[in-house]
Amino acid sequence: MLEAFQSSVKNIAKHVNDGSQKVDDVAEFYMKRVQTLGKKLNSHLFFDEKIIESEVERVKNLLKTQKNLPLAGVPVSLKDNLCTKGMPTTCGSKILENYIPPYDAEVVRRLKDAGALIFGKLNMDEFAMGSSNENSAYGPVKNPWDLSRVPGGSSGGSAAVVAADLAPCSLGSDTGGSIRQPAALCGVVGLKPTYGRVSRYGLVAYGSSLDQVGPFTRSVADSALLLQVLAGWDRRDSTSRNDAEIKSFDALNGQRKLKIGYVKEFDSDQLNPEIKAAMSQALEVYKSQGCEIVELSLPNIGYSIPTYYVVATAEASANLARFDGVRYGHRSTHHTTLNELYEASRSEGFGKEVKQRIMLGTFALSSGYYDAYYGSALRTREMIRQDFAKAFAKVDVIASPTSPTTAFKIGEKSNDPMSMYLSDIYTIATNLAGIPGISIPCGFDKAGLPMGLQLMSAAWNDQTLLDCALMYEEKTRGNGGWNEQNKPNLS
Amino acid sequence: MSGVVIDEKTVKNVAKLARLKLTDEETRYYEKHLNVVFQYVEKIKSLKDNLGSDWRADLSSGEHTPERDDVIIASLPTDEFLSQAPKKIGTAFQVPKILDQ
Repeated sequence: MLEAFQSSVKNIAKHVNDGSQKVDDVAEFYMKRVQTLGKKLNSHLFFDEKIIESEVERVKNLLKTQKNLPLAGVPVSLKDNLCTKGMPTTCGSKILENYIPPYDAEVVRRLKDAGALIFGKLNMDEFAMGSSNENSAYGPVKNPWDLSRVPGGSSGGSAAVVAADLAPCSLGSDTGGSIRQPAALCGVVGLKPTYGRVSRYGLVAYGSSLDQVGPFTRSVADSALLLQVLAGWDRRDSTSRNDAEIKSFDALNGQRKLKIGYVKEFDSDQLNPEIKAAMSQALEVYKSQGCEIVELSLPNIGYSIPTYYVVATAEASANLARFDGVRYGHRSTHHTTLNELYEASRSEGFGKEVKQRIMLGTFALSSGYYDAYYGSALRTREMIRQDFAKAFAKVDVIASPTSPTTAFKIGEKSNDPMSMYLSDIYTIATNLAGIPGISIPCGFDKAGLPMGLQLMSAAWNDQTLLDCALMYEEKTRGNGGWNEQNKPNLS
Repeated sequence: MSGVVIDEKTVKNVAKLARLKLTDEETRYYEKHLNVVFQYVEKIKSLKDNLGSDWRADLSSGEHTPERDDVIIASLPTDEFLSQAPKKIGTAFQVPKILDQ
């Protein structure tokens, strides 16, 4: 029988495959959780019981002809920037309020083929621009551990539903930390795979040289299982690699004695002392398992945030030019000319932060400023990438905090752009360098809020990352450890 | 470093380039916020890199975009694609007249 906070992706699939668990019961169990808690968390932008029923039928039919489906009967909820045929995809924006994509994203197709149930669409910062979910046009998601606090962002809904067990797993997207930071703030596992590992076909684009899709789960093994399903080449995403397949779950090994780097530049005044202490304890856990801990330097890491806010916004300003009121999305009635149609549709449809980032990017790319900002940012990005390449010649994995703070209060940072942007200080560099990163829970602060440990590895070494994460999880889970004791109290 | 100052005129010009129409209140808001962010971004100009003057981002990566076979695949049927158009005529998207402007 399913029990709240007890079921894993792996076990649901196993029991559905061997016939000891009915797909209908799995769907019913999580549907009840969503019905009871979804509104409280403001986590869902779309949840339709009729569609869930048809998903159950689809999977039951699939099971008649196919054995051992990796995600048999597993409900997977999706960040609302992943296109789903026949289901709304709003991107957290008014401009796509009534948009129903005529096609599935490649990751959605892969999930469906693997036997998963597509289980509703999740709230997010508008166009994935934000670190707190407060930029959603549909109101902020609440953190399940404390409803007055943010879940992080931009994949806030994806993190909250897994933390509150409204789904055993979900998908999000990560452009500068949008999977890992909310995973840390909600106490779940969030993985951003190597750039090129997972197809972005059908992901609404934000910063195309940075965007990557990845899973939220309650365990490292489940994360590896999801990655195995999602990874692979897709002709429709020219950045996806033809050697992108990975048997991350089959090969999972938590016993490898890895060399782990600790970056001295990450030790700053802005880092919450409790998170710093948790980091040190995590490194001790690795040491006790025979891993070697090495201090190293990433000299240009301090340039990550300014570099990101040029590269990402420049790409966003180009990507979001497609929202013009002509082909899909909101079309204003306040216009006579074509230019007025563009201006009115975009001004009515986009929210405050999205307009801000479009303008930041437009300015950075504008005549007279292009070389000074965009040109410099590309060079800085290359220096950061080289720093990582040098570091990974010495170590297998780099460990850091995921976020400098635990979940902050709703409204606390919304009027200060830089303070909000600095929430991603530890996560942004991996996107700039194209390397994978994972956030795993590493304890709770005195207020009972979750803290996250981030691990990073060289590009295409996602397996090493997962193996390293598993070692820590196996040593800290069970035996009355913090991982077993604490569940968000939502009743 | 003094850095760039983004004034009201620049904000209005950027909004025009981005096809956004701002109210006076929004213009003031973005003038303030764009300055705050770009004061911070100025920092990247201080980085001394060792990349050489002919360095190009598009040629620097050792990883090349994988090539694919040139295969013809079906595109979405017109009616499905047009199903999301806010305004259409027959099999086309409808836009305001541009020739008389």
